[in-house]
Amino acid sequence: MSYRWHQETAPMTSLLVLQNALQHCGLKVIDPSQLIEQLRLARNNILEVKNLDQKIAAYEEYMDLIKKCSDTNSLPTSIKLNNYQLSLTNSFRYVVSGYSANYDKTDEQAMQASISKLNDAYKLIAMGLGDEMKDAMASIENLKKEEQKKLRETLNRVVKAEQESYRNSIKDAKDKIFQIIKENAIKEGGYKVKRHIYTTGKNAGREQYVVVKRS
Amino acid sequence: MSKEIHEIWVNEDGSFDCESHSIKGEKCIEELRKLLEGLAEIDEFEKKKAFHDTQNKRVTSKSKNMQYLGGK
Repeated sequence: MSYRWHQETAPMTSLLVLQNALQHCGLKVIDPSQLIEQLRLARNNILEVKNLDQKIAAYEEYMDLIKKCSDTNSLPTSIKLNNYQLSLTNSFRYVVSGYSANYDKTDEQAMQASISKLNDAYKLIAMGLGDEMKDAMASIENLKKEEQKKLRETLNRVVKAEQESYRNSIKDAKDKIFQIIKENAIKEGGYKVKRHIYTTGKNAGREQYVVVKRS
Repeated sequence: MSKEIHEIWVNEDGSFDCESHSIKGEKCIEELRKLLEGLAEIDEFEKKKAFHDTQNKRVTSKSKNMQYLGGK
């Protein structure tokens, strides 16, 4: 008996965070886009260089890439990994599909574990943007006060750039979601759509779309 | 004149929660499917008591026939 299966990731809006999560999980991207590859190399470069000036230069290069991520603001429609391919859906999730010829669930279960790990990494990295930089600061010893200041300033700019890029990716995703709902409502006819953006209180960070039809 | 209301919540992580008022049964799910077309498939939902209440044709605007739908 055969069956088809599919697994979905959690919603993912930021290429910057996604690339970091893939790298964190040790998932090698086959034929990556130029930006994904550049990000991977830039991160590796930051870890490899020891000299302060080189380190700062590596961070500057990384910041240029963060800006590129924010400017293009597009997730790849598919990401090929070693054993499977992630395909992007409109709801900002990636899907992996598979086929089992003999009802063997091994592949599906392995995929479930892998996706779950990727989801956790994405969430962790998104929530902890900045932590990595604190670690970086702590790892550099024997710096003079002047040098420490220089590095700290650079790291602060990196953290701000990362956080802003992530926030913008979420904002853009929500704008797109609202746009699609509005278009669907117009297509169906008779609906009015209102958007409420919550920035404070228990719903902070959430958006509500109220779709009303009078009949 | 009756008012059909769908509340679609987009959470911080981009997932959806939906709640409908004054719409009963399968019609509610059908309408939400259309509104969320291209965005989410409704894969799990919690039926309220009113979901099966097709006998009561007189729905007033005060009655809250809420159906909680957890979309993707």
